[in-house]
Amino acid sequence: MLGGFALALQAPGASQPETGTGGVDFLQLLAHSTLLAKSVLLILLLFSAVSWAIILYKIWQYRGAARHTDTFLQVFRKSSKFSEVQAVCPTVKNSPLVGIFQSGYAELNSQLRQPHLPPDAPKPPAGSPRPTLKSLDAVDRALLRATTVEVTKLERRVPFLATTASITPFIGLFGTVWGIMASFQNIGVQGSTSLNVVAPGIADALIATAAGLFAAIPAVYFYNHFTNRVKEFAAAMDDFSLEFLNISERNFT
Amino acid sequence: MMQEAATQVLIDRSREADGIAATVVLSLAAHAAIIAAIVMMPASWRSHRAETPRTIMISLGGAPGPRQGMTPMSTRPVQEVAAAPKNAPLVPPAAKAPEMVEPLKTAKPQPKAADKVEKPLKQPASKPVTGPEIKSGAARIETGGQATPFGGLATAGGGAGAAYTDLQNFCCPEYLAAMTQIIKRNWQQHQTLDGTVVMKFTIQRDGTIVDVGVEKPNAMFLNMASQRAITDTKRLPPLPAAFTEDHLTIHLVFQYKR
Repeated sequence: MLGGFALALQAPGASQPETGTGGVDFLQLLAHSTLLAKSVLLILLLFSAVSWAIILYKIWQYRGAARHTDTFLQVFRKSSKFSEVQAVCPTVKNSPLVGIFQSGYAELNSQLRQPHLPPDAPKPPAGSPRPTLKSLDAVDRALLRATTVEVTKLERRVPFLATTASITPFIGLFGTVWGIMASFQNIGVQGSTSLNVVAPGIADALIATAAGLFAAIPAVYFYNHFTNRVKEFAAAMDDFSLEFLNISERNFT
Repeated sequence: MMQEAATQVLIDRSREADGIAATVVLSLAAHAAIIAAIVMMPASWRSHRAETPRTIMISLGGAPGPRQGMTPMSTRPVQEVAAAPKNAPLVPPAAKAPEMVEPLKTAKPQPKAADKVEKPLKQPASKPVTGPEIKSGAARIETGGQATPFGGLATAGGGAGAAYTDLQNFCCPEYLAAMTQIIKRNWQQHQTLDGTVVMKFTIQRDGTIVDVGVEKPNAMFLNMASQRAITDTKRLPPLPAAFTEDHLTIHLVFQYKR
């Protein structure tokens, strides 16, 4: 067999001519991949789509909540009567503080209406002192309940992002491992370890991992971001609850 | 009535519809758009472009390459350096007596016939061709062409020594021949695999080899064998004076046989 030895020389500074595309086109790889690889990619695509839907929805929801909270707090601090604030509430209903205020206001109203007075009790004289609260603790509990409801509402669907972040890399990894298994089988069948046999299968398999990471990375980022936002809202709600209790105590006891 | 005053408010608040359906549709549309964009975009954006350097290919074995020559005409070979021309008188060769003449029984040999014997043709290859320097070539006459040990019509075709080039202005093919010979000595061609590795390296003006790298890799140990062949060749002859650049980048193709 004649020795093959070839030599190529490049002229210094010679311009590199544009050549046609070489290398591996992953779309062609995908077209030839197995049903399992395709379904893994489809699952990852669905996870990505749903998690992005949640991301967009939550961004929109939190932005609206923050804007309405600002308006609500301005109105609340300017007004002198809870009934005025209550009238404004429907226009700023996206704010979690509105839920707390309405809950507290309902509790106050029910206590101040004094339905428990015996019917034969003497009517309070005119110019009598203001109606008083029987239990400030009951108001506090109503506010706490409202806070729980509002936080739950803000957190709704966010855990799906955590799920996406943790399982999509594994789904992708599963697709990759399966594809590499197929590649090794191919080596056995063809009896050749040449790169031409192995490389396309592995490249194809690695697409699954890439897709898994593609779905997971935004989910991780936005899960942390949203958790932080919910904490901020919860702090604002606690603050508002205390403010509401203070006002109630000052005015109704 | 067991219901707390605040309960109805809380139930109403928690039942408010959220607008997730709209964003699901939006997100699905965005994903579909991205996938469509990936499918529609030019194939060259998705895949790595394999750049083919502009090269001279010289093959010292295997199948002959395409028949294309750097110079279609080769040069006249010179086997001996010419001595200074002397003004020696040209002496015609002596006429030889014809051999094997059938004897004439009746007639005497005619002496005049001897004068008519043709002079033998001078054979051009009988004497070494002389010139200002020794060089190889295949032309019978002086063409003024560049001596191309691997190139040109004279050597195209055939198993060993097939050559094809597409670089037009490298001055000194003899240097490449010397270089390949030296590297070939350090090269272990027979491996357990067939395959081709292209190595790239640079020869400095003084003949040292720098920047050795694998340009088109193959199996790991073929890459290593190629690299070893070059790095074991620690030094090459200095670049020829006719080559004016201070370094020369070489792409060397190693074809392995089992």
